[in-house]
Amino acid sequence: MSLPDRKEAEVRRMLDGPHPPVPPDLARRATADGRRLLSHRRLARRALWLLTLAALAVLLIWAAVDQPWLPPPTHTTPPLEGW
Amino acid sequence: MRERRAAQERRRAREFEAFVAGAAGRLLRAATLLTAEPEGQPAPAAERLLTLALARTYAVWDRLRGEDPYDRARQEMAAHFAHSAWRARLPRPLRPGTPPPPGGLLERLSPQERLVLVLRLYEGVAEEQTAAQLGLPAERVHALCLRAVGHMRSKPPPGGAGPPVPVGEAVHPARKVRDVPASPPDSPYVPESSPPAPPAPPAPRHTETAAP
Repeated sequence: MSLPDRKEAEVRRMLDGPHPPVPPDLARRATADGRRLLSHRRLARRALWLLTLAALAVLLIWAAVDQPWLPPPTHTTPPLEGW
Repeated sequence: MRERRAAQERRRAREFEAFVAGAAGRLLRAATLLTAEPEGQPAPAAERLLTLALARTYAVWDRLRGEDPYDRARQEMAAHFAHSAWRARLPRPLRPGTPPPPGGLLERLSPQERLVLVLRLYEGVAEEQTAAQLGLPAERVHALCLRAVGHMRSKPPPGGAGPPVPVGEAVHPARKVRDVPASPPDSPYVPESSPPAPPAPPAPRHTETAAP
């Protein structure tokens, strides 16, 4: 066994020890926190979807009303008369 | 739909509870080592850390897809500890006259050294994996581990048996050992790819037999 290995094994023995007693309601608390985390995420995802759909709807309505692909009416050129 | 979701939730809760029953002791020991709280007493910070890691594991339970939930919980714990240790990296000033609170086994190590030591030696995670989880180069992890091992062997654990071993330099109890050891201030920068110079401070030879 090389020297670093021996040193590491020594520290490993120092780290190894009896497991501390786990509080009995740890699992319950973790489950409750995890549920809350999940519901927050679900809520955030839903809000993001709603926002995306709303933005899409606004874009479509604006396009239907405004029809930006038509050429703009020529307000600037004066009418040609007197030929 | 609603019933199926309820059934799924019950199944998840059952599996999760079984997992916690089996893994919580070992994880709590790791968390206590990380937060350097004394053994044999309630460790509120370690419990908070563990609860958070477990809650995040619960939240991804259905998406684990064969991944070991223990690995996942450990990873969450390491990530949160690294994040919170970075936020709380400045030691809290003690009021003069009050003795410092009693600490755990790894009290004198910096949070990063604790993290590397716990992941590498207590949990037995491979060096490359530890480096990937912490976002550090593998050489850095190696150096941190060597340095932490050197610290651990050069100082007796608090409350351990045996008289304190005289170390080459006088170590003030409140001093945080964080500076890069064994490099004179005017030494040129040595790239990490050069032949590995021992980054750990040379452990005094005479402590070899005295350490427990």
